[in-house]
Amino acid sequence: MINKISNTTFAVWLLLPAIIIIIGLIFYPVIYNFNLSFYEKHSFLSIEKYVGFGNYTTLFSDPEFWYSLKNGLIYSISSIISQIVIGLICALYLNQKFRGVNLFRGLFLFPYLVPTIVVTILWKWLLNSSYGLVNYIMLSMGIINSPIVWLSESYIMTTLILVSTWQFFPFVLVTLLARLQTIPENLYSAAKIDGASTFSRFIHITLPQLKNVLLSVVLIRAIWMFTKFDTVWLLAGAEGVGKYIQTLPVYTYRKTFSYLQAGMGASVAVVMLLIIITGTIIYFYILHKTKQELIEAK
Amino acid sequence: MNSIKIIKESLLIIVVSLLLFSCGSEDKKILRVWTTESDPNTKQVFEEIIKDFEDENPGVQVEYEAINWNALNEKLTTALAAGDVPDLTQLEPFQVYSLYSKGLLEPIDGVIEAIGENDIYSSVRDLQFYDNHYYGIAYAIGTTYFSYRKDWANEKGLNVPTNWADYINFVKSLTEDTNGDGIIDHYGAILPGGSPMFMDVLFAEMLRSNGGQMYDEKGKPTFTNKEVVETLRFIAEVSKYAPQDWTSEAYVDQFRTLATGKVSNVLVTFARAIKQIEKDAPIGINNPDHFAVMEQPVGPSGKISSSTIDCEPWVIFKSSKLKDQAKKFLLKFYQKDNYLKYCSQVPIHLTPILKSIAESPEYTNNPLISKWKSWQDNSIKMLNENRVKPKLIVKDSDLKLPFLMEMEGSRIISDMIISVAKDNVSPEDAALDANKKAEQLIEKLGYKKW
Repeated sequence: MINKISNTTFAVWLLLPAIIIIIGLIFYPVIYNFNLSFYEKHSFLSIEKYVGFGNYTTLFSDPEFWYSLKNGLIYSISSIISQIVIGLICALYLNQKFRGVNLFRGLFLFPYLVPTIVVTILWKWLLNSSYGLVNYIMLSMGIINSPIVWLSESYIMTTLILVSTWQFFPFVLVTLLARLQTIPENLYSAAKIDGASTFSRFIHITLPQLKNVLLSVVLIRAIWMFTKFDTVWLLAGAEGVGKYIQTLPVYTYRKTFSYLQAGMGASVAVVMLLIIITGTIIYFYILHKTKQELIEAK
Repeated sequence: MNSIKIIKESLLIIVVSLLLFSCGSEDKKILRVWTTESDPNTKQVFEEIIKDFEDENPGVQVEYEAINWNALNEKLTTALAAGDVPDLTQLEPFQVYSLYSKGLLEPIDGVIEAIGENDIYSSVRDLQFYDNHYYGIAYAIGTTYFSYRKDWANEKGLNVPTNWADYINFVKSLTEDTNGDGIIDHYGAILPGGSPMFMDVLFAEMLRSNGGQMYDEKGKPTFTNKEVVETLRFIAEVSKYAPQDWTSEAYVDQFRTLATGKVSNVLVTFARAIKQIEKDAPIGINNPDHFAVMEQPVGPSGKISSSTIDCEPWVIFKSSKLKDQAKKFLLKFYQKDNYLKYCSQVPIHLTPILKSIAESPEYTNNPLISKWKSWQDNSIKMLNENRVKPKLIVKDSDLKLPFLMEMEGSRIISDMIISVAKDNVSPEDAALDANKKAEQLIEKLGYKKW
């Protein structure tokens, strides 16, 4: 009986669960969310009223939305730059051949493997203004004269960027390291013979070879950081100081589950999606244009 | 071809195994319970009660979850949105009315009657009494105080302040750089900015002590009133003598800062602080001669100080499939030996709601109650003089406002305080902005009646 089913039919049956899951868990929620954004809907009661673009009008006139957008941009851009810089430096270092390199590669990966809740609790302890290890070390070394209040409104964004950089730079590291290991050694040998300095080899060989991977990493990290919720929320989102690092995902959550305005929450989610899509299109446009210019220059 | 056959046969085996596994699973009813009590000792007693209950009801398994007070509102609204509420949970009185008005709660008259309607202190029993039915039952009674370092105040010859102006001078005098290194060693006060709900509690409490109101008789926000603006100004002034990171200070952590000498005043204190002081303060000073409580000082527009009552009532959801089991569980919880043992784990803060237990020697002879009698006396005094209101309630009529749960979740009040204290926004502007946001929220929720 089983053998009578053709291989094609069998393949379709095997694919079907995945297709159903993709439609059910990705397409349907997105479409439902779009639709919900046109309603004034209570988050848990069956009270709803069609308001057209009313939620969007309210949203764009809400200073908290613009403030959250600004915070989100500061957070994502700053943390992406720092992740790329640190990730690149570490990848170059770990691409060298030295004793214990594998151990170091494992150690550098550690922050990415730790659950976010552990990361935030750990850093909140380390950065505590009264008994935190970071202030203690900095005071002992004479770097600062009085403890830095890392979790106050003045430093909380810096703290968030630092914690996120620590947690996510290993992703950049691993991706770049994988690419670095595939760059042919003879390119460097030839450059050395031509008298190119280390810096010159980095600029003219390493960076161009890493370019495509770097561009992909920037795009992926930009999407992830712009939509990051857990680190922001767990670090201070639910606290009074959380208002100083409120980003759009947190704003969405608060609209939906604090103000109980599911329609408003949905409209923020739609705006976030559109920002990401627009950003991606612009990014690919610039990427395509740069490639074209390079081809024409050659 | 062979490999495809292997895959097909493997799939069949998996499907058959899953079917067999599901047939063999035990058919026990799960009673889901949420509790806000986080003390490890009370959790242990609670687990013992659960075990006894399960032994007496073999078909029922209790799954309980301890929820942080700050997370309760968010957790609850998320669960309501997902249609996945527990069978039995503790709430705040303002949440009870919000949910009752939405038709989500089950009356528990039978439970109240079985426990002894007249044995329950009326100050907490009647908080959940709507349309001639009881919709909740308080788990215990605690009241708030301002706690402070009595020894330091005595050293400086400071009297206990009774009004806001004196209190500002009090915390100012207790803010000290003791070793002259330019760094403050003792801060005058601390505020629970890391727990927005407790900021809201403080605000409502101070507003009551300043003779104000938050909503008029139609439920319209009145944040721009003189009393509200004065309250904002007072809290912002006190915050000048608090550590810079008070906006990330969690409610319970405040007591650690008091016990270890970082701060000299905690504005939102329940008797739960006693356990922290006993544990963290140096031996020899972990007593009420060094850590005392005072009544809330009175504001310039107020006449009498007011305290907040904590009673987190148990409620049963209408959607629960195990309503009867939930009621049976409540009866088990309030059974004298169980309840006495439970409340004795955090004495004074968990004062029993049943007079027959609260006033019995078995409870009052607790060594911690004897030691910290001055704290207990303050609570009893506030209760007897009817100077207490539940969290976020300024006037009695507030208890029947259907939007307080959403208002607390929105953090409009705590954000208003922080914008005055930290962002240099004038109290008048912050109040106006918060009033506008509150009106919008109430209107969007469909509760606008003005």
